[in-house]
Amino acid sequence: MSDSVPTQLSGLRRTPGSPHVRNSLSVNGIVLLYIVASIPCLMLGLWLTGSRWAGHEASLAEVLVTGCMLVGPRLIVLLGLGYGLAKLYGNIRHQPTDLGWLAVSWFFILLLPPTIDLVPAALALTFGLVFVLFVFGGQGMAPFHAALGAIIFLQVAFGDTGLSMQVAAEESVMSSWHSVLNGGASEGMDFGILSFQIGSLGVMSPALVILGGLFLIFVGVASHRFIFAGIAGAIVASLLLDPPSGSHVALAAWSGHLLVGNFLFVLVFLGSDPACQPLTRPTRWIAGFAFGSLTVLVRVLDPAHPEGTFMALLLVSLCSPLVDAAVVHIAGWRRSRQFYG
Amino acid sequence: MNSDSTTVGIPGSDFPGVKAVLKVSEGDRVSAGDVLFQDKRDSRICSFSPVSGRVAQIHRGARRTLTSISIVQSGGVEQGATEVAPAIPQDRGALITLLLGSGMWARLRQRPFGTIPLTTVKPRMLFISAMDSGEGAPDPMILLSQEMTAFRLGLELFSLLPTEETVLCLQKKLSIQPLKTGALKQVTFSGKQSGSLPGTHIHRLSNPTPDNPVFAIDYRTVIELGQLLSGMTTEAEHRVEISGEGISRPGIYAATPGTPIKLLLERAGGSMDLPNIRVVAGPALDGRQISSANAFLGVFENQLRVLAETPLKGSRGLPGLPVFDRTSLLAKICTRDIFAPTETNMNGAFASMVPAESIERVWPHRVPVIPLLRALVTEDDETALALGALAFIEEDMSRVSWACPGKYNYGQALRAFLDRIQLDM
Repeated sequence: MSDSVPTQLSGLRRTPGSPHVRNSLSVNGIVLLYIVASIPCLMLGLWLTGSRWAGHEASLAEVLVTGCMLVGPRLIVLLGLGYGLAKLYGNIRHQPTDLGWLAVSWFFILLLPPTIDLVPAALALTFGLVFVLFVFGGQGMAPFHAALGAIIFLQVAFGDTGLSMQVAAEESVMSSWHSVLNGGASEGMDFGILSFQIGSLGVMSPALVILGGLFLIFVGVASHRFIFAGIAGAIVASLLLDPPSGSHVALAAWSGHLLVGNFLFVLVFLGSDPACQPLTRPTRWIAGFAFGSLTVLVRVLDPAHPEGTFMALLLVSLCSPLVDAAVVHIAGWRRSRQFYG
Repeated sequence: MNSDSTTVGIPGSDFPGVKAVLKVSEGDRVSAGDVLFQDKRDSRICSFSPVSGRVAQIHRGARRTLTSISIVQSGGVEQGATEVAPAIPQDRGALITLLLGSGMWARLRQRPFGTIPLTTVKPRMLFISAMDSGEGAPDPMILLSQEMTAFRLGLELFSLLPTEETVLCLQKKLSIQPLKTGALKQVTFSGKQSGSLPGTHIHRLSNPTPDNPVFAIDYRTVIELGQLLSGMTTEAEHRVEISGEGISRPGIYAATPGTPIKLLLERAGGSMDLPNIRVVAGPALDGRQISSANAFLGVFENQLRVLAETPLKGSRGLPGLPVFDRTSLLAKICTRDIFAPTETNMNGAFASMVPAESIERVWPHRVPVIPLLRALVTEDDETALALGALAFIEEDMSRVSWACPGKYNYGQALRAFLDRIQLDM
């Protein structure tokens, strides 16, 4: 690496020379903006979790306290674990600690059901942070989002115990699907953009996820290309695919694919994270579209996986560098053709 | 009388790439037009004294590079050089002799590398930039319309330099008759910021390499050459916009290149001696940082910005968290005034490079920016070459460095790349 990688200068508050001024966006600032955008999702998750356990007669304060007591210990332990691992990594590598650990731990927690067992979750988070984030060099260098790595580890490694997580999450998604397909008969309401679903902590309201996404696009940190292409991909795939009869999504409209489950959450908070983004604009369009369509493909053709988002994002993230390389090659070829014929 | 008012200086930054062999020493008496230093690479490239007087100080910087020469003048101001060919040059050799004698050769810049070219180099194209994005800079179209005769003559002569064509880059086309001496192409560019940089024009219209270089020059020098040969004064009006911390009368001031910056700041009600300020000549993004050793106005500098230095230690912000102060992100988004910063705050810690949208929003070129920047910082020279990095110099990278959340300095990475290519030649 050249001298422009100033790891020794990490403590500087003042520009050392030209450029004399810098904009106010930093890598840590991006992480914080993502977390701010997802706080409403967490708050709603706390409230809905609390109301489930405290009963319908409980007051708002009781509901929130119950929610915090259920989720709080997991939140504290997993965030503390993430911070500890990041400090350890920083000490070993003699590098300052950035906030990559916070983004990973935070979104990992939001993607888990509120009642997840702590030990497997901690193991999965450790796997995600160490083997997906830290060994590749930290924030901005991971091949895919480390929270995604942790979730997939949890699904693969603890498949037989449950792990209550997968079962709970997928069962809840199934119930949401039934709500969609039965016109709300089973839940007493139709599933729409303002509806709530029971499942992972952060994905309970599509409306709040959309608000978070709009906020991130407005402040200019999220890639709107990836998000809009993802939505387009899901719509196109759901219109084109002919689901096998008996599938739980056989009769679902395209809006069902967008709103039910964690599709929007993964698209907005994991897929569009600048630290794991494709490098070029064409690749962002392609990757977003591929993510949306692959998600619907998995959902429609594999009844065992009503979500499909994690595997779709993993595949897209791993293939993006190839598309990036092709885009760069084409850009070089076009430039060469422009000047040398 | 203030001694600054009789001092004229030549900043070394006006001579990029030149290895100066000094022909004078401190205390020597010089006349206007005397040679101050020659280029070690090509002894025909010289710097001439703009005034008669006594050499007061010669400052050298790292590795003995020339920082500045200051001359205390005695007698009247005699701007301009003496060894000027009176006749209109008819061929390329005569033109080069004229440019060297008048000191205008040092206004040419070669891409790749952004240096003053050797006289033996034959460029494929010559880019004349008639755009200026500086806030206080005069509209080039006004000056061009006033001085069209001199500009036309200068254009005719400069078109002798390239082997293929001369490209005139401006915001809207001018009605210029076809040149007798060479092909002229007019190309319009839009955009106030990067759109006016020569690097933008050169990258869009050519692919300079060390074997096939191109030259760039600004429209003022073209006018000055025309004026010189028409017998008019060779001094085009030079104006400087002065603003920033402690400047009580910000505005646009007339100033000659070489004027002490201390004098200019005092004229605008400011001072170089205020604590915790940084004086920058040129744009705030990538201008030249002024110290006591190089405090003279450069020939291309039309802005003076006084920035407030951020305290090295302070209580603002929590450790590890970004400082959202008056230059906060949301405030900038609301006002859209993103290029008017006033403080030298890093606004965050050095971190990995992330492909943020903020970088792409300030990139005016067609080639993908993030792969190019990654190629520069990882020393992947093959990709950088394929994407046309040889057309750029530091000023073309200043906006992406500004926008980078990881706080990288891509200008530095680009210069390291250009140095490697130059070594391989």
